[in-house]
Amino acid sequence: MRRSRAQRAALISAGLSLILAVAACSDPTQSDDTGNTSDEGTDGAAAEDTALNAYLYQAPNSNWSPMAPAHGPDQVVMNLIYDSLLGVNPDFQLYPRLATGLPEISDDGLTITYTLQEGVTWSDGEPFTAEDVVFTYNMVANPATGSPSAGKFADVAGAAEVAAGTAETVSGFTAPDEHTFQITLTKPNIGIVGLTGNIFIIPQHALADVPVDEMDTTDFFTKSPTVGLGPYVFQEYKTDQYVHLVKNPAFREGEVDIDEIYLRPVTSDVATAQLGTGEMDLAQISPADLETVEALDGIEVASGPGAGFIRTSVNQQKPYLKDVRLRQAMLYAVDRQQLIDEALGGKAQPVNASFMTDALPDDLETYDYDPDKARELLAEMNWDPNQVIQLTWIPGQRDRDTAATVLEAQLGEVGIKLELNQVQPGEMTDMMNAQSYDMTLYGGGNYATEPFAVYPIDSCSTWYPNGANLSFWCNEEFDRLMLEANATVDEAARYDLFQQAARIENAEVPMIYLYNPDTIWAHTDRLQGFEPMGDQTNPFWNVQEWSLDS
Amino acid sequence: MAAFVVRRILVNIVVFMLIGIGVFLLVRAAPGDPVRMMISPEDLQEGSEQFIQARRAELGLDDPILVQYARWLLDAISGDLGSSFLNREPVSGLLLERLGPTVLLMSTALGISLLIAVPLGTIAAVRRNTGVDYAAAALSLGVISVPSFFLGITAIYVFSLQLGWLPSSGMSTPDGGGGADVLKHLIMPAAILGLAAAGPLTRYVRGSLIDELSADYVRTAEAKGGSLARVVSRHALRNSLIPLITIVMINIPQMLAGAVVLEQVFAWPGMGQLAVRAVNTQDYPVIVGFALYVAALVLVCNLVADIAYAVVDPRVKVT
Repeated sequence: MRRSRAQRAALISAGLSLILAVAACSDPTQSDDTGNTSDEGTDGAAAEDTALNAYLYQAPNSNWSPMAPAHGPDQVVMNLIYDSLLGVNPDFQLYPRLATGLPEISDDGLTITYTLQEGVTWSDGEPFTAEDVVFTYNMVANPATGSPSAGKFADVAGAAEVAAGTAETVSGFTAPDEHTFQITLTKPNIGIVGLTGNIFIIPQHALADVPVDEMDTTDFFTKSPTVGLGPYVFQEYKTDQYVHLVKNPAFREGEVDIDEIYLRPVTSDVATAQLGTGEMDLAQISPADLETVEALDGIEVASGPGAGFIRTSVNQQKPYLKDVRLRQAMLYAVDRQQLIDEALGGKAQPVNASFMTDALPDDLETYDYDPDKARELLAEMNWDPNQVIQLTWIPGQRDRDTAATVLEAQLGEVGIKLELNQVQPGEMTDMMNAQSYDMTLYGGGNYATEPFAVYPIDSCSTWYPNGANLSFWCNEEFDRLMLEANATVDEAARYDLFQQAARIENAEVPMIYLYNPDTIWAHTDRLQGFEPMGDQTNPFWNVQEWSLDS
Repeated sequence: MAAFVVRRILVNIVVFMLIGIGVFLLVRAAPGDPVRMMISPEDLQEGSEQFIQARRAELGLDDPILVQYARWLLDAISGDLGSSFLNREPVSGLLLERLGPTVLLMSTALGISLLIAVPLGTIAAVRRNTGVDYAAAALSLGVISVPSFFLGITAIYVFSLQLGWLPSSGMSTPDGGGGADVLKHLIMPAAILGLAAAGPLTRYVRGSLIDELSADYVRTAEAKGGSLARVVSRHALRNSLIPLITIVMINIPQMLAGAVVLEQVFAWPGMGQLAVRAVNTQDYPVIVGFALYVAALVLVCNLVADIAYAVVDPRVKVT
């Protein structure tokens, strides 16, 4: 069959339009999107509305539940829409939020009593009472809700029964009256205040009908956490684009000044560029971008010390890594101040123990750069210079990548052969499970608010995966001091015990301490009242004191 | 022809099933554990291991892999691709929600690439071995060689930061104005994606047209006194576009790979961002769902290419 030219031309163009049709399919979502945005345009008629655009360092998991495994970007949102009994300020001190003060701890250390503020209402107008707190703590302490934090409540009366599934509620959480919340313990555990006082309180009246084992999938947490006690109310999450929050008229400290907040997940390069274009008002920046950002007009930079630190674990399950002198030699061999200056623009502090603030004694060994001393220690222990040690880490963060190469070079200088091994997160997980790594480079944690937080990374009973002790270090005297401190009500005595534990840790070097990086924030100079916070999930801790000039 | 199409569709279904099995097994064979990866090491505490074990059981990860596959397959046949481990949202919903933005980005980019490649390739072929041809070749190689994320960041620097003409990320301004607003957000990612695809396409158009220009019928048309423009546009170009159909169809899945990267750079709310996050967190159901979507796209594009080719070019015999 022969086709005429006209027929052929028609077929060709039909073919081409088919291509385009397949590619274009149909995009109903698209017309929806534009429809929504114009709706919002007409809603927000008030011209003097102030909106703050802030950077979110990753897209949220869209799971705004205090029972979900912690995920930083979702925490940023939760810090704005929920409130907690206690908060943490940039000095990492606890301060009262929904409570009227820090809790009272009975002399025997077994009863912790919070007095709650009166007259507080949820964003939907319902009154907030101690029952909401009892409800929340029951949920977080119940592993059936999907909560990974249930272990924090192991010492609360009745928590073990709930964890085992033999009881539905924890008998140790009670509300003696509308404005009192009490925790009863089976043994003294003072650290529980700092470790659980900042749990986000969720509304019982909105969630009471949800079965416990469906708490992690309920729409309230994954789609519309619209009832809260925080300064802002959740409005919308536009997938991968922004989380939109509007101010909560019922906030306990009164309405905040800035009407709306948009939290935008973009890459840090784009965030930096957007500070320049005015599309972004507040962003966390990396030390590498510091100079660029400081040169921008109308942008101010402020930083706060972090609460965790970057370190390498040293797997003491390996016979050749057991000798404490090896780990001490490693610390002496690395010029950590130089690393901080080069990789972090000086925006970090060297670390010599996991303890911080008042739990950190001032007489610790500082392990200043001293390669000769490192060589002496190695000679003393007959270190085999042909023994290769592998350092494993997940690459992609500039300062950590630099740290790995600096470690390789400087340990090499004193005769420790380091082999660098970059892995994917999944591979790292498997290596940790198999305890097969020599050393791993990682960071994080919050050890500044509650010193007992160091226990899971150091104790004999919290070796991975039962805790975060990735060096598999064990010192019974250290454990004894920590447990005694946690059971000591008297603050001065407690901190004295923590300091004793810190001295052991500092001398025994369970891990190679590197540095505690500052969190660097950049914001428009129109923003007033910003106080830099080292916790990157809570830049908005004092948002009620902020205003945005137009 | 109908028998050909039916047979191809049946073959594609089998291939699709095999891809499903392969992806399902591969994802689970990769190192790591989605539950362990949800909790960062520094958040581990006493009791974490029990939690992890309970969670694994709840997500069905403790069952033998064939049991897991059978369960997944039965659900998948009824349209249920499972739920994300991260927030328990149904995978099909997560993908569907992001289909619109990705399709919009890719179709615009495809249009742009054709608008660049067809004229540029034609001029390069007609003015073969002249300055124009060399310039077109340089441009093609240039856009192929420069990674799109670099072009993306450069474009943001120039057009957003320095010139202030275009928004640097996202798909819409929260309180912004509808279609025009989306268009402004679309320009940079679509142009860069389109430009990258236009590079190879230009070369194909040029090569294909050069073949046609040396064919007898072109000489005949020229002998009849047709002007160069008329000969090219009426005769040679049309025929030269036939192989282009195949190339474009094969390019669509490749373009998706480029889109994955650009969606990250421009915070475009498409499937790419979802896929990258799922891979990083070992969110098995989402990874499998996304892979099946890509597999379907590749198979459909190939099928369409075959059929369109047969329809457009009568010399192709299908049996």
